[in-house]
Amino acid sequence: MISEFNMDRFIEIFIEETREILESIEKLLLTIEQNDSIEIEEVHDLFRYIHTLKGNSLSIGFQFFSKLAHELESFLESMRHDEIKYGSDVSKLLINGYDLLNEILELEIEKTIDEKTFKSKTDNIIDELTNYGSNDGIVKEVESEETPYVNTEEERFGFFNDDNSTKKTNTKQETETQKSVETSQKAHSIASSSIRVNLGKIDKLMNDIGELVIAMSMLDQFTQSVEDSSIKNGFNERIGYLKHILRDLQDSVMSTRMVPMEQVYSKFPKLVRDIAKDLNKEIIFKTAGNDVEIDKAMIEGLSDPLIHIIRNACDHGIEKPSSRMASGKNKEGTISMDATQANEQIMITIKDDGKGIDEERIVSKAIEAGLTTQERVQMLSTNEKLGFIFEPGLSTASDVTDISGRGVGMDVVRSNINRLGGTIDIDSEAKKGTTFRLMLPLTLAIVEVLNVVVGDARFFLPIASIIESLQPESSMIQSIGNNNNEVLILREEAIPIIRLYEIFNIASNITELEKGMLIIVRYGTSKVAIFFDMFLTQQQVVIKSIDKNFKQIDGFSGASIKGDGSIGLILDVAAIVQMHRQLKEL
Amino acid sequence: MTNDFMIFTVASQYYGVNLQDIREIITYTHFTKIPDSRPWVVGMIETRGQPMPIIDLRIRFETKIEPTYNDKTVIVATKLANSRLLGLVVDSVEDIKSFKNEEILSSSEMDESLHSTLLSGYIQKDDYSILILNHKEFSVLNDIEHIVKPQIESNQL
Repeated sequence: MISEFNMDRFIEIFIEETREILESIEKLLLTIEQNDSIEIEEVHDLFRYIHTLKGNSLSIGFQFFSKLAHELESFLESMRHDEIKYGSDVSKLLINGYDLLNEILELEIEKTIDEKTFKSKTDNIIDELTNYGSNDGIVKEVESEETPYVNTEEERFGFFNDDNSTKKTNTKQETETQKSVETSQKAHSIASSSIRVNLGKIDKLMNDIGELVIAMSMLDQFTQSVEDSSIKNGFNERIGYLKHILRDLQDSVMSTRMVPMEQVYSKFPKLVRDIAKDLNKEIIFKTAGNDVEIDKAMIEGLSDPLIHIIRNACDHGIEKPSSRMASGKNKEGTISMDATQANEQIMITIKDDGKGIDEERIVSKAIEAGLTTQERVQMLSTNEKLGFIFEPGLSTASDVTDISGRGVGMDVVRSNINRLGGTIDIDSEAKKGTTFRLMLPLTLAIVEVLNVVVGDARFFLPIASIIESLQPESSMIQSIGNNNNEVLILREEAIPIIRLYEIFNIASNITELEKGMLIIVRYGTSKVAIFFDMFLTQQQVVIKSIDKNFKQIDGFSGASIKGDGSIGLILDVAAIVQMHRQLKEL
Repeated sequence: MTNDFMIFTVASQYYGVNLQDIREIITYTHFTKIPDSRPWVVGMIETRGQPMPIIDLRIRFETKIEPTYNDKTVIVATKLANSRLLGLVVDSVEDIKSFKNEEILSSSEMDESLHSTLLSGYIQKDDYSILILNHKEFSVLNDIEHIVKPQIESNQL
């Protein structure tokens, strides 16, 4: 069950996130203004930022802020669809909107905003946003915004109804400085016994330790080549000691990056409550695994996807009390969020007991959007059909609401999760509910791998995904279908076999399954058996992204530098399964 | 206006890359092969803590030279857009030379067979010519990108 959450703390987190996003928006807007043109990518980025702001602010009850964000979002939506063309007045309008967002945010933080204040501040801009292009009197209206609207709350600040414009700016600046002082004081009192360290510094530390690990394995390799066995043993003993310390050091640095899942969960109870209220639904929100620790760097990227999923669950998943009772369910719906840690991976499960996802509807939408064809659909499994909800532009909600349903959600969810090196899959049963499963690496920096051999190539296979390995006997292998699909029969379970040398087109002398090794790995909720020539040692490697100098390479999640200075490629099981399916379909 | 070029040879032909775009010259270390890549993408090496792809120009320009890799193999690390790095295997590095802008002729006047898309221009002297690699826009970079199979397909499954 949920413990009482500290509102102040998660408002603090929200504010920090929001300021970061606003910063990115500002940067983008300034570039746009400077270039006096807008790229479609920039429109998408802006849209996503604003969409995130809207969602986040709604989750902690900043309704005015989210209202304004909603208006900006609609405007950007029109730009996305090319209904509004770029002109210099557009960038001006967006910047005005951005400034106002900042202003409203400050008022929300101080809790000094009400309907009247909000209206007086934003009416003009909202008008402009909604009627853009159909009205030429816009500029005038913006200027007339200065007409003072006096209300007691504003008088306290005393700058809006000041007629002297220079004085006005000064006062405004003063007030702003004062505000920021207040805010920082607030922040100070909340963070008491800990210090804030830039994540970049910890990353640097992490990287240096990574280099140390490499140097260590160089020394190790060298030692193994020493001929004199007494010297060799002496070295080995001391290296063992060094390795031990190194492992501890690595763990402690790692732990500075880790925070409990509770921090991730904190914003959801309120979010669920508010949405439930809005929609006249009754929803119970449960969490488990609050103490499971997660890489701080991951939280940021995780926040949006989870909000999207939760909102969808509230909006489209859980039914109204009346229809729940009609179908014999409790009138309260339940959404639960669970985190567990196993094998250097975190699994987050989000489960609702709502009406489930209408598979046929997803499929017809997918066909409508040109993502697939009627013939192809016949060959897809339920899981694959449901997977279409992760495609861009596919929303099954009939109306655009404040809560969800513009079709931006799920594709953003998937790309965000992928960016974190994780995977997401969905399971749904009509009338029973929907489950989302996110598998994430524990950290973004280091991975434990097994050295595997295929032909003359060597790769790293992440240990986390491995279940077991074996050398099969011919009786354990069966062929099914006419596409030469091989499966391994293991304890009455049929596991698809993937021959890695086929996927990567590597010349290998070992093509008989009985002569090589099958490594059974987890893929989402299912298993596959990957065929290698053999495997060697296990080691820890520091992940380096390939696309720093490269495009992503299919089948690999990253690279690492080996003890001898050469590059090792880290296999990406999910991508390999995809490549395998493609290969078998052809 | 003059520009400095690093001049190197591939199959007895001179090639040039703007000196500003040269990161460093590296001697051969073991290449890690990239599975299923174009033949001229010979692998990756580590440079300054990051993986860098390597293209063998001897293969890219379809020279008859049998590519061998040993201590004498020279890799020119060049800078691409977005501060990406790309290594080029060449026969030998010759010299640094300055040329005036007007000495550099447009690649459109070049013979089709000279892989004109891979080149941005050339310099014609009495006794030799230098082909300037079109390496910023790099069609050679596209060559790398093509090794990645279309992603869209896999998403549709």
